[in-house]
Amino acid sequence: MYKQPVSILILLLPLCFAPGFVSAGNGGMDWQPAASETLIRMPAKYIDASIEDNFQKSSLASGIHALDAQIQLEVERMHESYKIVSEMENEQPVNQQAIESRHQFLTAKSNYLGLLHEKQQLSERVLHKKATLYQRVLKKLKKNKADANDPVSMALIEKQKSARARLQGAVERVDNLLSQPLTNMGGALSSSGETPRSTTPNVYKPSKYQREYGENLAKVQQLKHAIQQHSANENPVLDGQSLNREQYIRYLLSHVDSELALLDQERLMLGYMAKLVALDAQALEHEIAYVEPDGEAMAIKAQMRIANTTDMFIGN
Amino acid sequence: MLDMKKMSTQHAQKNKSIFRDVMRGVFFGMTLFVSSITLLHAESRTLSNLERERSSLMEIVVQEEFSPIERKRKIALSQRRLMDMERMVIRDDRLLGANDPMVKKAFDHYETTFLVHASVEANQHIVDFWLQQLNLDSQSILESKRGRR
Repeated sequence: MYKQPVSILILLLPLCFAPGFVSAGNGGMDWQPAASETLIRMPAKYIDASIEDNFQKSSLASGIHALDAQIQLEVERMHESYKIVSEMENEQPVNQQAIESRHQFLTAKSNYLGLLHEKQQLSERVLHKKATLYQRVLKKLKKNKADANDPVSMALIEKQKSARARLQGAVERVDNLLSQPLTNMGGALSSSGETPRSTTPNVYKPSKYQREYGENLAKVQQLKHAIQQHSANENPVLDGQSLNREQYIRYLLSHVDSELALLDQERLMLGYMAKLVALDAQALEHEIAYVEPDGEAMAIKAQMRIANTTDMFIGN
Repeated sequence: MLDMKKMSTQHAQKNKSIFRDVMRGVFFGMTLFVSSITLLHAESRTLSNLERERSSLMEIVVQEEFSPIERKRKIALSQRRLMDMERMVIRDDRLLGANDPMVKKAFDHYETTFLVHASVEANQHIVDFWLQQLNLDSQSILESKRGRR
């Protein structure tokens, strides 16, 4: 009776671990992270949190959560089956119910391993995507850095700084000159020497930009100072060392690589566990085939014993 | 009693989780907002505005139909606008090291870009200063001939 299902189980177990089996079931589950400007400009310590947040909103994350729920259910089922199997282990002779519970236990273990494998494949996809994303961010950061250190840009920055200083030196004189009524303005500097008659109001009105720039500048400085002092804007600290954006991304990348290495190790464990389930299934099949006493055969055998037929030859 | 305690703990945990989600939403929303402000700022071309205002000043200078007084008044008004714009350009951090030929050219020629400040620095009238920068004097203008280019 159990020979067939147990054999099927053994046959199906390796099939469950074929890569095609899982990818066919993951249609629509995806996550497309992008190394956007927002991500690159973000304070370093929030980069991974932002990526994680983006991932949690993806269909791939929903798929992994659904699998987690299934795995949890399967673990419960496995515990129940294990309890029943343990209770019936010492019963003699081995009855149908005991074999049934062992079979269920094996099925639960097989399902659990299948789900675990599926989850591992999805996790691996996530980690590969994260690694690619970090590499892209790193590349962009390096490009920005290279652009900033480019000799042409450096020369331009130098020019701009000296222009600022030069203009700053002339600001007061310009203000004094341009704050004069329009009729006088430029008159002193005009080569013609004539003083034009006024055609506009003599009252000088500073522009809105002039009026508000000074006020805003002080506030901007205060805000800048507050941002610099804010704890959320501090660089992430690792082992007592403050990391800049590039160093932190490199750390995140190495962290992803270590997670991938652990996933590889877990895959090995999963393989061994699958092998054990296959061996258990094979053992159960053998047990059913060769160890279980066949009542009918025993009866025929007993019937065929010479000693049992001798009575029929005696006394007639 | 134990159940009540458990329920209250669960409720508190749920509230905490909601609060955390809301705070996370606020943080990412604000970050996005800051980025959009930065992008908008990057798109506001202070230098282009300055170029436009300077070209309108040149138009005033060469316009034949204005009387000398009117021209002077218009130049003075334009000068004030230019003054603000020159300061906006020089204070625009987005232009620092910007890989743009327009920016490079502007800072290569300080005198013609920051015409108002440079002319005051040189103690010259803005139009005279501009003509001098272009190597145009009365003699060269008078010697010029009209013809096909």
